[in-house]
Amino acid sequence: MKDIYTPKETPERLDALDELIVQELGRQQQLRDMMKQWDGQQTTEGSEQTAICREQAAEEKRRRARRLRLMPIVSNILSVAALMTVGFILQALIPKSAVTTVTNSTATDIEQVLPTTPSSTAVQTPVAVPADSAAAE
Amino acid sequence: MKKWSDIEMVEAVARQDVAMMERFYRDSKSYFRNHAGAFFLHDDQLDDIFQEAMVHLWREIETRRIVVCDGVLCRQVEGQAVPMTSNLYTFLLAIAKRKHWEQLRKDSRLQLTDEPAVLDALDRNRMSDDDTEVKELQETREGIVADAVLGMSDRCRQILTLFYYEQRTLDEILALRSENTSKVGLKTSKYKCMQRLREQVKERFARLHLSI
Repeated sequence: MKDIYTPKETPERLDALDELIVQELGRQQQLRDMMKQWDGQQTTEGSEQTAICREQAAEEKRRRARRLRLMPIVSNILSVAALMTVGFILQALIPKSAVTTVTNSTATDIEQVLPTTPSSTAVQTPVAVPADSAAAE
Repeated sequence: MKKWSDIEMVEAVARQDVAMMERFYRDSKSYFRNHAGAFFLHDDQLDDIFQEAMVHLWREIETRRIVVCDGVLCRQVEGQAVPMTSNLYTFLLAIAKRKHWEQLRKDSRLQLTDEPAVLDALDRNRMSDDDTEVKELQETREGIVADAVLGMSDRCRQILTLFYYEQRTLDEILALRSENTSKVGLKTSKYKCMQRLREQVKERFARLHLSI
């Protein structure tokens, strides 16, 4: 059998049988210690996993808080952008001919009120003759 | 999910593959926790019982009482390698049940009047035909010694381990153990525990005509 466990020096003298017994005691205790170590490792790993989860949860919380702070600003920007977009769309939707017709009809109305042709409607303006020239004749 | 076969595990334990042993330990513990509840009275002892059963199983493998022969698991029975009829998990559970039953029997004098349920438990846990695989069978010196040490009381095991394995002085052991009240008493206990072991081993060696 492979000598897995070597007994340490003990104060009392051990005969061959005692050596066998002590060696067996040592081997069994080694196995128990190994199992305790594995259980301990599992606990440590569990604690590390818990710490990682806590860190992730904290990070998520910070991200959520940041999102909440930015939300009103973003909301306002979006609202303005939306209104501008609606305005552009409406402007694009209204036809140009409708705008021109409105403009022409307005001009005709103005002409009726205020004739603009100079020959027919010229107003003769009396020219003021100087008195001396009129007398000389 | 188990990703190893019983034969692979026995070979791994025999060659001291610690990584495989750890995997076996973890997988077995899950299995034990899921299936042992129906058999054991006290949940708080489950971990201790499981660890002792594991030590027992590993020593059976390391002392070559469980071996692979012709591609199957075999156990040394009265000088012959007999194929095992159960898998390692079932075998482990059988060892644990037996240890639990022995513990209950030791405590039964205290509990007979207070907890009649203990008697029912003893009946339920009586070794069935499936448990015959756990008979004490020693073919080698190491196997005989392993069995004797495994069969020791917890008290003796603790005293002898502290003294011989951890190399504590009697004064240090006295400080660690509240059960012992005097150094002389501790020394006597240590001597008696060791003496009992020696006698058991010598008796079994003599029966099998083995020399020390």
